[in-house]
Amino acid sequence: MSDQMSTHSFTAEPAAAPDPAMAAVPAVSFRGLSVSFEQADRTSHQVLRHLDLDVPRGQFIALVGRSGGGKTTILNVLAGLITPAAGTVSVLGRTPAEARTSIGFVPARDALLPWRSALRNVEYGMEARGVDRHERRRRARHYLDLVGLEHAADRWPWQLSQGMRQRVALVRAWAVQPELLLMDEPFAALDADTRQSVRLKFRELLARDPSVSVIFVTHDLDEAVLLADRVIVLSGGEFIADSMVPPRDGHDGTSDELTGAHLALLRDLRNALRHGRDDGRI
Amino acid sequence: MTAPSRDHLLPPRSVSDMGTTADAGGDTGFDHLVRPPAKAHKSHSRRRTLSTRSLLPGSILGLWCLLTYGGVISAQLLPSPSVVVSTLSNLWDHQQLAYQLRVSLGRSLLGFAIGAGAGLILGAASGLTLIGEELVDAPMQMLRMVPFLALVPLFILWMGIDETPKVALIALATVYPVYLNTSTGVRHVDKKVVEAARIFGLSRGRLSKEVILPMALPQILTGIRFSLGISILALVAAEQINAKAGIGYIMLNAQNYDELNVIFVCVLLYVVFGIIADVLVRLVEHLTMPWRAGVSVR
Repeated sequence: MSDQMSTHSFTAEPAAAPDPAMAAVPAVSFRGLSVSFEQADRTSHQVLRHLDLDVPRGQFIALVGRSGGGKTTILNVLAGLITPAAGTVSVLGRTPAEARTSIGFVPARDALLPWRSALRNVEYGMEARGVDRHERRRRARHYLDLVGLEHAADRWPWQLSQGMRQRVALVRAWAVQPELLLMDEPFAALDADTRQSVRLKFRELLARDPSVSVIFVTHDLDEAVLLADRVIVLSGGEFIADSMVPPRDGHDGTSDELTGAHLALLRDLRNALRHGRDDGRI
Repeated sequence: MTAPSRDHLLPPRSVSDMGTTADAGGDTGFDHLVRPPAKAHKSHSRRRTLSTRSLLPGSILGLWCLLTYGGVISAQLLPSPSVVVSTLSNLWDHQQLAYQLRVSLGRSLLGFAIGAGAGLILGAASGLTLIGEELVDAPMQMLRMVPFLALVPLFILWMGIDETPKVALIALATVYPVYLNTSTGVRHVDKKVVEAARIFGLSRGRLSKEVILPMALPQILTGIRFSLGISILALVAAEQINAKAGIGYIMLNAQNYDELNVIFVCVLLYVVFGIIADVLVRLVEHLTMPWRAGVSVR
């Protein structure tokens, strides 16, 4: 099986980080990472198999694959929620648990606390990290402004639309000023129009701070190619493709249309994903 | 000859061509479209709500008047409203009703406080920690199937006939609803929210206090609401144990002397207790969960 796999795998040079000094400590690095879960019948199911990965600082990686492929498991390992069965993991040069204070997280469903206003929800990430009250409020207002939610600061979450809620979740992660941002299908719950506008806000935020590294989990290849610097396809617990995305010159982020080299890449990745399914587990 | 068949192939030119048989009265082409009736503005005024709410109790009162003053049912079986009111004032003047009420409510609230407190602590322990669940859950599930009324004789043997068995009975009856609702409420908190909070770096203690328990609060309050109701129920049972004061004591006496009207007053007082308890919990819900205003179906 594995030789067949290699025919579909792409290899690419990792992108050079913007600042060579920072590149010394990669944003994420793991070797031989394996994770298995015990199933109901007491047999163990291997979710991730001996994975190696280096993510330089400032890189935006999209992890793509079908559900159950292990994408979210990788995020959980990086966030320190799961202890791997084997392998070494370093996040920002530290253990995942130690690195938590430098991580921002955007979940699939917004995970806002219903008893806090939008503003207080943005504050809550900072609160957990002991940012003082005054600074918290200032930053929360600032970031809500950036995503066009200044008028909604005092509303309860149930008074916000899904797109607004997701923007709140986005700036909640941003307001802790993370070095690494973990995103778990952050736009999956949104309809197409809303998704595009929230994505746009996200890219505006990202453009303001290009040193932030991003691990972005999605099942949507288009989205991956549209947003990321590098796309990794995950299937059956293994990386079956790893490609750099050609630079999107002049792409202002307002459109979801892809052209030329990007479409070619998309086609290749789609093939890889399809074959990964064919020779995958029964 | 061919014209009609070719016409048939043409796409409809406007909306009015479809569906309606070509009457073509107006020139706009949208004549058949109907403006949906504007949704009637819901003026759910306070006064109307009040009148709707009091409709059923009001008719019951009316029926009561009809049956008693109309002489359909003898006064021996069903006292009239005026008799009940005069009995009430009589009780107030001659049997220290205010004191008796205080005694009964005190028992009920003390038992409830102990029971609900224990239910809350046990439920939180069982919902939050695995060891707590293993220790507490199975015994609680077994014990809750024992009808507390069956324990009255046992409690009398163990604790005598003073206040202790009364309060203990109420506490025991009120512990389970709070326990069940707290433990399941805590256990079924949205896992994603908890994970997000953990990644943001909340410690276990703060996670429980600031995220999990508030999230389970609606269900915990449901349990408390149940428990308050049951505390009144248990109060009635407890006050049958050689009471020397309280509503149950008045009731027992009335039973011995065949004072039907007094029994009626006592039943009405229990109803008032129930209403007060419910209003109290609604108030607490309203105060602790202002964010829930929009959850209502209406």
